Amino acid sequence: MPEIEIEINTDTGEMETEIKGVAGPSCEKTAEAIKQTFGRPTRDEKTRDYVRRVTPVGKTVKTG
Amino acid sequence: MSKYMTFTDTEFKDRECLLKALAECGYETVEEGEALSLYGYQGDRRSETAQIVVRRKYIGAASNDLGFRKTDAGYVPVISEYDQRAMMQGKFLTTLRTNYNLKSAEKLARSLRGTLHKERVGSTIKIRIKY
Repeated sequence: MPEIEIEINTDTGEMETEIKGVAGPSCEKTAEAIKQTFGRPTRDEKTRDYVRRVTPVGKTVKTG
Repeated sequence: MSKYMTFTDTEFKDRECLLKALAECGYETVEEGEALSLYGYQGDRRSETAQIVVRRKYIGAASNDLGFRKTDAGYVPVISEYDQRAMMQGKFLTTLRTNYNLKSAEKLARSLRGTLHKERVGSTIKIRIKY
């Protein structure tokens, strides 16, 4: 189940969000909904899983 | 996990969340208009205008009007140096930002038709939205 984790630092008001369990391009849709609500992020980066999760279903991925 | 975003800017994108955050800070009465004049603590009209204004009578005798000017990026606070130091012992903008982020998280959860779980750990509020 996809989820969004949000951490708000009450000392600074700064907030960090992390989108979990959403494959690459679909993640952008959720990110857009977050930006519509919270405004422009000062930092916006993809995690390693962003790339890993967009691997097409059925494709063989060699590891190790 | 797939994406990180950090928000530190002072703009408040969403009007509804800003009004709720102001109410949470104790400022429920605001004026809204196109270019409302702001007044200083002596009743002098300032050159700045704003779209959302908390009048000084609701803030303190020595305070100035507090305004929020609408820009393309959102509402930007128009606040005097004195009030930045004096309001909530200098923590007004941080408290407003925290309240705004909480209200925005609730709005986001509603728009995604998700469930929201919130917990406080020290000075950090952790929110998890499942949708």
